[in-house]
Amino acid sequence: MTAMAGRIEVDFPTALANAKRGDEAAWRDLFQIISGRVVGFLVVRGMRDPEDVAGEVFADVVRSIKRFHGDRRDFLAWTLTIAHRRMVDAVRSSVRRPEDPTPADQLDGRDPVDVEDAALGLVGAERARLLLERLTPEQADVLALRIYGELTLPEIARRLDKPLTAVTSLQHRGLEALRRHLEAEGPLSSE
Amino acid sequence: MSPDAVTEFIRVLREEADGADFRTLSGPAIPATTPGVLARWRTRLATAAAAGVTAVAAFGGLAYAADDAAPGALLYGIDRAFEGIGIGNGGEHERLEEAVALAKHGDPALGLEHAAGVTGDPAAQAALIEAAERIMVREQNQVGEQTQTRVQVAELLQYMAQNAGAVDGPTVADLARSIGGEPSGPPDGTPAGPPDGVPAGPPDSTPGGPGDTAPGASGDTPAGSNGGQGAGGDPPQGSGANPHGGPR
Repeated sequence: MTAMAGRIEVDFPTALANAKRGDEAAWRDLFQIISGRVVGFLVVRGMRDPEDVAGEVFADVVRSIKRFHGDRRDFLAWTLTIAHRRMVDAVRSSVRRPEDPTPADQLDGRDPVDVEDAALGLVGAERARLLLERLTPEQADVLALRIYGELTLPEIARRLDKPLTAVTSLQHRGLEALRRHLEAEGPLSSE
Repeated sequence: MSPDAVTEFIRVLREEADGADFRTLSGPAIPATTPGVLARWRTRLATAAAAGVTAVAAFGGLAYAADDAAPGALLYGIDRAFEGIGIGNGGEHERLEEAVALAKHGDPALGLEHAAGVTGDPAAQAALIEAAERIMVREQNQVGEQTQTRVQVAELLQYMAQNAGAVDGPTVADLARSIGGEPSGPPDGTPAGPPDGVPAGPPDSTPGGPGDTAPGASGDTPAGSNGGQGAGGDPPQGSGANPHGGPR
């Protein structure tokens, strides 16, 4: 069906079960589901080294897969929760290590650089990053987790340790701002 | 109908991500992947494919969902909640009509989420979303009283539709909190009284969404939306947050 043309067709329960047994092909299926989402999330949130952080996320997923139970959406949400935590960790550690040339504010303040390099070819995500930079970091977190991880609002509230009302409000305002910017600038891929 | 800019934005980003392939970054983690030149080429091919998708989505995005006629059907394929949060093309009244339609078509939870966006009152939004979550949990657990729940949802949506443009947040929050929780009497002061003949969802009408047979529908099932159970184990290195905590 056309509406699902972009979906990745993976028999998720089978892939999950096999991956838990260490089946290599099954792992490739699982990573097909999440790899682009994780990198896209990290790009959109302005990580300087999305590849490095993504590698850590994937390693976490492999280490912890036996504790995971759920469907495809849950898997996505779970993985992106890990990605969010890894992102926060990466920012903190870069703050702690001043010899790192990366400025401390890279979450939302990365310099504009070559799009191909910066976004690993994710042109839309790169554009989205520039848009989300105009929101507050918290709004951007909520939107990015919803877009890439398909987390529910209660899940985001737990992850960010905020009341649901606060998260709801963050989303609402973030979306309104996003829409204003989008309407002012045209569709995502018009550049 | 033209796609709402935000919906389109989200769709493009997801399609781009799903079309890309960064599995090579998992190199050390996975037992074996295809490293080196071949993998890089794969990534580039995937990137090119993603760019194609982006262009298609931008210039012909409607083709993606044009054949989904039912109100709210678009939601199923993209994101159940995101679209329902009040950033749509249609006005408030239209959105509430869609919410009523969703509830009638057998998905009261989605109807509530869809309705959540029309009120700017965060407490009312949260109450609506929590009510939707409760319904999902109940349906997942096959708890009875679904009929009553649906009547309650229909009443709430009816109220919102009748008062479109001037929906009272606290009232909505009160009504929403009574849904799917402990059995209790009807809330006092039910405003603008929804009449008895509210269009309670005919239980036998099948969900109109395309999700029935579609791949990826797992993300659309009610079961998927309750993090408490679905999220499985605590993600690694759980830093404090209680993943199974209550919804507030």
